[in-house]
Amino acid sequence: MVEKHSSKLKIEVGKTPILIELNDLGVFNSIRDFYRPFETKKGPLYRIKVDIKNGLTRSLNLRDISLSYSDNIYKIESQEFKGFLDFKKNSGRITVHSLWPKETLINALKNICIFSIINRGGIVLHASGVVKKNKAYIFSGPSGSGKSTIARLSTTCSLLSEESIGIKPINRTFRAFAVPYKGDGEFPRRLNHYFEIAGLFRLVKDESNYVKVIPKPQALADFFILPYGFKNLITFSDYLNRYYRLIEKVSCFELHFLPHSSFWRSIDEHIN
Amino acid sequence: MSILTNHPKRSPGTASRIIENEAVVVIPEIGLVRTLNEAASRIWQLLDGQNSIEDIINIISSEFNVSREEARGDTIDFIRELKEKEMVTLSDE
Repeated sequence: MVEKHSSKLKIEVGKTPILIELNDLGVFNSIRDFYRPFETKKGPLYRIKVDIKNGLTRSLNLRDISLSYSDNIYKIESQEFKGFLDFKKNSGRITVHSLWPKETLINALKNICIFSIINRGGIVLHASGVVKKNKAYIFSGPSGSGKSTIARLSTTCSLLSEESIGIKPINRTFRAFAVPYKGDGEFPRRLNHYFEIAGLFRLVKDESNYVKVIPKPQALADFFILPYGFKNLITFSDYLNRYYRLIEKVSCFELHFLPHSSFWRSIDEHIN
Repeated sequence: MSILTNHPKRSPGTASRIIENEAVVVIPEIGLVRTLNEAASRIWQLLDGQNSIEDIINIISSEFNVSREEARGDTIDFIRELKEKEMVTLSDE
């Protein structure tokens, strides 16, 4: 029998403090360690109630995620969870119907965080990010390009995320931060701070390690991702503008790499 | 109406930015992101509904120091390509 309990966890993602209130102590304990690097004592901006229910809904295909935004309310729905965040009331709710509630909840919260970041002037890259000597190195590419591999091979670095990186302009520089993703929990050192970006790297698996500079126009085309599900929240033109400002300020490279940590020598030669 | 008197205009469904004299154009509906070289970027900038194709040809010929015939051929070919991809609308539509 699942214990019903109201447990609270306060986390901060992208300088946005969020209070998560769960009705299930078991799930609460399972996510506590995962969100430990993100815990905060700050007063929350958003309050999200989470209901854990048994079973799966059957209204959508497993892979479908439906996103919508109107009248200041962001809604998200999949076969495993349903949620909303009301930006006027700064509150929301997530209902989880899943055989794997921990992973499903982390995924639902990730989507809400992404929406919040975009709503508050940032961008989110489908990228892995690590921190070395207090600077963020961001590695972008489609599925299978090696984002997770690069993160795992960077054993002397700390992890931001192996999948989602938030970026915001702060004090005239662009800073990167982690958007918590379920796979990140396997990394021993995770960070939740803002870091100035040393470089954006587009990944290419190759038979040798080398770095080449990407011209700015090509970099804008390569790194820009059309935001899915954010119609009515932000125009494509405004979102493109954010990337434009980022690419103007931050160095962009193509990293050709072997599946070995030796690629860091090529990066260090170029950045330093 | 001669094509040269047409006043083409960038489609409202596109978004673009000029960076280092090159345009990056996004068509969200079909998920297309494309970079244009310097000359194509200049033509893209001039597609504001105010410049006729003849105006554009004259500007390109002058700014890029090419013959009018060369500018004419390249400009019309490029605008045709944009039209096929629905990135531009013509003034007789």
